Amino acid sequence: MEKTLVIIKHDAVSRGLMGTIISRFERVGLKMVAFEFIQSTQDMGHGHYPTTDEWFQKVGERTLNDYLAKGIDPKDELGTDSPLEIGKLVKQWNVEYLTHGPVLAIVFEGPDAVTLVRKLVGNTIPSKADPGTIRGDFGMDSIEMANKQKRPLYNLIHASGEISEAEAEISLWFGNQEVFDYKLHSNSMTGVYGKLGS
Amino acid sequence: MKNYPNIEKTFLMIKPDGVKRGLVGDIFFRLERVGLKLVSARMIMATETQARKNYPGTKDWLVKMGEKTINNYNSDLKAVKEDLGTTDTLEIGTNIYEALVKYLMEGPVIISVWEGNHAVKVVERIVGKTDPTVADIGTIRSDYGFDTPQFAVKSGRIVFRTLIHRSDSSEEAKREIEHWFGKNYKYLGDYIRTDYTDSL
Repeated sequence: MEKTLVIIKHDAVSRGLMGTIISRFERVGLKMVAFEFIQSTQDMGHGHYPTTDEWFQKVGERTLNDYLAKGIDPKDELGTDSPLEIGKLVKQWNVEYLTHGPVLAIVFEGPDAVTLVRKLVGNTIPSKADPGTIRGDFGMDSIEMANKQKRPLYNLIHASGEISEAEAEISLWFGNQEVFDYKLHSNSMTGVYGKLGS
Repeated sequence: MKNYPNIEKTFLMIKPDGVKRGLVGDIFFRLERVGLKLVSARMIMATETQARKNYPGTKDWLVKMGEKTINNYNSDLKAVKEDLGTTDTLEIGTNIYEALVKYLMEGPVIISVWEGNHAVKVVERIVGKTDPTVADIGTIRSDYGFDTPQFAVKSGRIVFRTLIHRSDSSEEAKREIEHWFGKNYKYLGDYIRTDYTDSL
């Protein structure tokens, strides 16, 4: 069965939103199979985000375009207009955010867990996230504000982007820890254990 | 937080029925919204030792459990014999103890530690009485519980499902944190809850 990693980040922890966020996954029938309230180390934070030039370039270009769209000179703000350099900065901001305080790391299991969770989480940018998604209902940070403060968007939650990413992230956050196997009552009517009545 | 005299920690476990029914989020929500701060939490599978030592398990305690059960039947020994197969208090107590241990090991549990002003008492109030037919409305056990001692016995489970275990006192919390978390306990409460009145 597919598994995905969710991290309820520290802004959500501090705002007392852990229960609300967990409920949204539980009520669709996703099963928690690993769960830990944890303070991420610097190493884990760095390991969580890629370190390839390709990724730096991609992330840097995105941020660079945000600056240019707002008519802000990235050289004034960040001291560079190289996408690669900006990408490295963004990674640093992300690591700072992820390690700022304790977070709740959870592995959810279910059919299409990765996609399902991404859908429930909503668009990265709160103003673009649909109502009914976690970020749509609880987020209000903006790219502009974040860039001005030289930090990433505070968007409450991280969810794995694809299956291979989920595998790597689960192994980073839970290592050799046990992932539990049990039956969630609601799943008996979802087909997870077979046809109805089986 | 260390300067406030009433700030204390309490231990709370969401038992296998709470996890399997998908109530972890709802339970966390109820604790968070009163301003309690989560300082430690993880999912574990209780070991037999952990489950056993969660209860005193002494002969005195077993006999007392048996006596309490007979009292619940208004000392109708015929009914006790019919439901439990024996009227011997030690035997009844032992059967209950074994069932309690089995219940805690039925599936994974969430162990957690919450900190706040009068945390022990506040959590006691929010969780409510074990029997959902007498638990106050608005408590977790009243809002989510349906199992009763009688129902459990008639269903052959002996002990009824109560969703949650919580500490009775701050001293007990210390013992339970040690017992359930062991070396995995790490205090992570050095952060601000935005809804604390003095956080801004």
